Amino acid sequence: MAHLWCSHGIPRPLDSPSHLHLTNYHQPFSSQAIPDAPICRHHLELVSRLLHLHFRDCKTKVSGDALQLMAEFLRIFVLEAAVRGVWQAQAEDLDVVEVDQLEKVLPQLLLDF
Amino acid sequence: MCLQMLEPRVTPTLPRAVARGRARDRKEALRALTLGAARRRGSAGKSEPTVPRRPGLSAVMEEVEAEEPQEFSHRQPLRTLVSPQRLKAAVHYTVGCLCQEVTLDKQVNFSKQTIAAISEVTFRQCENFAKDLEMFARHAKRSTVTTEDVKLLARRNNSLLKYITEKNEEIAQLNLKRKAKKKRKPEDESRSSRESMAEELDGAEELQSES
Repeated sequence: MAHLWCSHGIPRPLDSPSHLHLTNYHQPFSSQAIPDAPICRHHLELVSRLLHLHFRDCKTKVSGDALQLMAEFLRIFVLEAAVRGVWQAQAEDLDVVEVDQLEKVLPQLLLDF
Repeated sequence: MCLQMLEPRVTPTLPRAVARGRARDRKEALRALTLGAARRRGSAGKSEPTVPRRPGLSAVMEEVEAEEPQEFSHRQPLRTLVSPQRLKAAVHYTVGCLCQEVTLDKQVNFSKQTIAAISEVTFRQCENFAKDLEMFARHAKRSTVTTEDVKLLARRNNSLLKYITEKNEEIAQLNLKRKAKKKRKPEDESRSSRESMAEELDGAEELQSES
């Protein structure tokens, strides 16, 4: 039923119950359409610092492969948040993604990650 | 659900840099992370100002000129600590760049509050990811986080898990190629030709075993 809603161009009332638009279930990960950027050395450093900031034990290390994979993971996280926000804005016939659209996609995003 | 808006502590110069997408500025902004920390280590007596007057790229460039860049190795534990604010600013910049790519792809704009919200969410989720990774590694009686831990982190969505496992194989292959290149470079040409002959022999042996 959610698919039918999405295929209509009819804008939904903004105070509808907080169902999320299930546009994502029938599609594989949306951000795969964005071309792959080569993993930058500075991004790796940023990710490493972000992880080490929250490690409880100072002795915990991150292997190089895991760091690259985490960089990719976080990149996908940001891209998913952005692209789902775009989908929500397009579903509501807007051309700017505001915080309201992001709020609607955020719960499903956090459940998926 | 109301998101607490964190007013990004970046001056108008950063969004302009985002719009122009200068890689040089990004490098300087991220280099400032290491240099700022090094400077703070050097002048331990002085207290860091809580709100710098102009935390823009001009301040970053001053730091770049003052000190040499540090060597970064992600295998060693990091001894320099960077304040969360600098990390948040760096995350905000990177998120801005990624949203810029999405804007170009989908022709839909992002408001500044949205970019700030996404970077805030990313920063907070990072804390959860880091704690989970540490717990996974500790559960496996390791002190190093490996790709298996990251794959376990990506278990919630099937297509995400599939994507991450594919990426993992790509990265492993890339690293193997890089290692092979590094080993070949300092060796003599005769040695490398011997290796290529050995590979041909292996290939021939495989064909023989298959037939």
